[in-house]
Amino acid sequence: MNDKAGRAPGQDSVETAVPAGMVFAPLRPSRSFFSLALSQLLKNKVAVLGGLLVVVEIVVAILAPYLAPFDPLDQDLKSTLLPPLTEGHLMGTDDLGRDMLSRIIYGARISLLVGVAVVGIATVVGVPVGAAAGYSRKLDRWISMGVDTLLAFPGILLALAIVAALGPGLINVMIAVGIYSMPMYIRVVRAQVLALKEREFTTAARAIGVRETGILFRHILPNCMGPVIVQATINVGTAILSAASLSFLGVGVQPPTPEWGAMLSKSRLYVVTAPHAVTFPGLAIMSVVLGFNLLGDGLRDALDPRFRR
Amino acid sequence: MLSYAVRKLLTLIPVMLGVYTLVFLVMQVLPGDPAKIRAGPGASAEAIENIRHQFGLDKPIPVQYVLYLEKAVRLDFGRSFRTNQPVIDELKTRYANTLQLTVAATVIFLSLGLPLGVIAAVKRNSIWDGLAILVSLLGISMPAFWLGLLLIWYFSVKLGWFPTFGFSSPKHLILPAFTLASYGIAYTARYTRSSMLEELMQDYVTTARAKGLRERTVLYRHALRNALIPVVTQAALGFGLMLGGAVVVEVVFTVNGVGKLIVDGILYRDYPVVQAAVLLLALNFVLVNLLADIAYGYIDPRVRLQ
Repeated sequence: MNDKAGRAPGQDSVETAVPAGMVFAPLRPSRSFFSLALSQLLKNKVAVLGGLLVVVEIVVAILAPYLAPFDPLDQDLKSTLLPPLTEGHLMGTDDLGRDMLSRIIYGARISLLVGVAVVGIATVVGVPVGAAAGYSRKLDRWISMGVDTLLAFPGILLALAIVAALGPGLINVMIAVGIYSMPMYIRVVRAQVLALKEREFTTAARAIGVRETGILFRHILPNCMGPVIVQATINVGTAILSAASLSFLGVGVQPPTPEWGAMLSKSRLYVVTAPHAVTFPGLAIMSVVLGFNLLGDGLRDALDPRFRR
Repeated sequence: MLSYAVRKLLTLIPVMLGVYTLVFLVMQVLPGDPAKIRAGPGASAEAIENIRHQFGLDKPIPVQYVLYLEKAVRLDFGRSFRTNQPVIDELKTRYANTLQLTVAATVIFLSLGLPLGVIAAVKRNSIWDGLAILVSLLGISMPAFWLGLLLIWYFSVKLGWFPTFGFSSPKHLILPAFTLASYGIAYTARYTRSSMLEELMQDYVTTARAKGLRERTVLYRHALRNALIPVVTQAALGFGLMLGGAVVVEVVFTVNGVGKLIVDGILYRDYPVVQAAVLLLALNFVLVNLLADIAYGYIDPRVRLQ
C-alpha cells in the first residue's frame, strides 16, 4: 500500500526533520485504515473464498467470448435437452438445443451488469438522500416517511410492482431493483451521519469556519463509506438474486437473453426429463450470490474496528 | 403499554397512505389503456368510452385518486378485468392459501432455525456450529425458486413422495412451505446464534456459573431467555418476509395464492387485481411488523420509553 507519492507507508522524510545526533528507535510503519482492513480481510479464509468466487465471475464475464465453446443464442433443434457431456456440450443443451455452458458463461455478464448497475443506482440516490436525512431534521421527517413506505412492501413485491409499470427488459429490471435496494443505503447513511455529526471533529471543523456543506461532504460523508462499502458488496449479491427472481417470474429479462433466472423459468417445464437444465443456472446464481455475501461479511469484520484483534 | 401500541398504530396511517399513493402512481404509468383492455380486442370506440365512464377512468387523476381510496377503505376494489368477478372475492380465497403457506413456513423456520442457532452458539466451533453456518450461508444465497424446483425434481418426481403442484391437501403444503422457509431458517439460525453468543459473554452468565448453577440452568434459564428478546422481533419480521417470498414459491408450486394472483395479473394486465393484491400484502406486512414492535415493547420494557 503506497501513498500518492509512491512512498511506502512510514518511510516518510523523517530523517531530515530530526536534529543531528539524536538517536531514535526505528519507527514502526504507520498503516492506513484501508491497508489494515485489507490485511485483516486477507487473513479471513472465508472472505477470501468469497472474493475468489467474485473474481471468477468477473473474469468469466469479461472473457465470455473466449471461454464459451458455442454461441449462446445458436439453436440446434436436432439436439435439444441433451444431458451433460454429450456431443461436446459439457453441461448439455436446453429446450432449443442451445449450449448450456455457453449460456451460463454469457449469463455472468448479465448478472454482473445488473448487480453493478443496481448498486450504482441505489448508492447515487441513496447516499445523498440518507445524508440529507441525517443532517437536516426537517428533511428527515419526509425522507423517513418515504423510506417507511418503500419498506412496507414485503420482499420482492416493490420491485415487482415497479417492473410491472415500466414493462419487462434488462434496464427496467435494474431500475426496479435499484429503487427496491435504495432504503437500505438511506438508512445506513442516515444512521452514520446522525452519529458522526455529534463527534468532536465535526465541532472542530465548524469552529475553524468550514461551511456546512463542506462539513457534510468533506468530513462526515467520507467517514460513512465503510458501512456503505459493506452494504454495496452484499447488495450486488441480493440484487442479482432479486433480478433473477423477476426474470424467473417472467416479468424481467426476456428470452433469448441468456439470463440465469429466465433460463430457469423455461427449464422448469422440463424438470422431469432434463433436470440438468434446472441444476446449472441455479448453481451459477447461488455461487455468485454466496461469493458476494461472504466477501461482504468479511469486509464488515475487517472495516469494523471492534472486530479487530 | 396501551399508549405505546396506539402511538405505533397511528404511525401506520401515513405509511399506508404512502403505499396507496405509490401503488396508484404505478398503476397510472402501467402500459396500455385499462379501458381498452377491459373492453377486449375489437371493441368499438363507443364501448371503450362506455367502460371508461363506467369505471370513472374519464375523471381527472386526482379525483380518481380520492375515489379509489374511498372505495378501497370500504374494501371495494372493483371487478377483475379477466373474470369480471369482484376483486375482493377472489382475494379472500387466494389469501387463505397464502396465509396457510406462510404460517406453515413460519412454523418450519422457527422450529428448525431457533434450535440450530442455539446449539451452534452453545457448542461453538463444534460440528453443529459448522452446520449452522453452512445452512445459513446456503439458505441466504440460494434462490428459493431453484430450491423449489430441485425439491420437486427429487421428492416428487424421483421419489414420488409428494405431489408436484397444486394445493389441495396437507401433503401439498410440505414442499412449498419448506422452500419458503429456507431463507427464514438461514436467517433465524444466524441471528439466534449471534444473539446467544452475545448473551453468553455477559457478566450475569459468569455470575450464574460462579454461584454454582448447573450449566443447563445457566444456558437455558438465564442466557436463552435474554437471547430470545431480539429473536422474537426477527421471527415476526420473518413472517412478513415470507409473505413477499410467497410470490415466487406460489409460482413454482402453482399454488393459487395472492402472490401468483399478482404475477398472473401483471402478465394479463388485470390491473384492479394487481392493485388490490399489492395493497393487501403491504397492509398485512406493516401490521405484522407493528405486532413485532409491540411484542418487543412488551417483552423488553426499555424499548417503550424511547
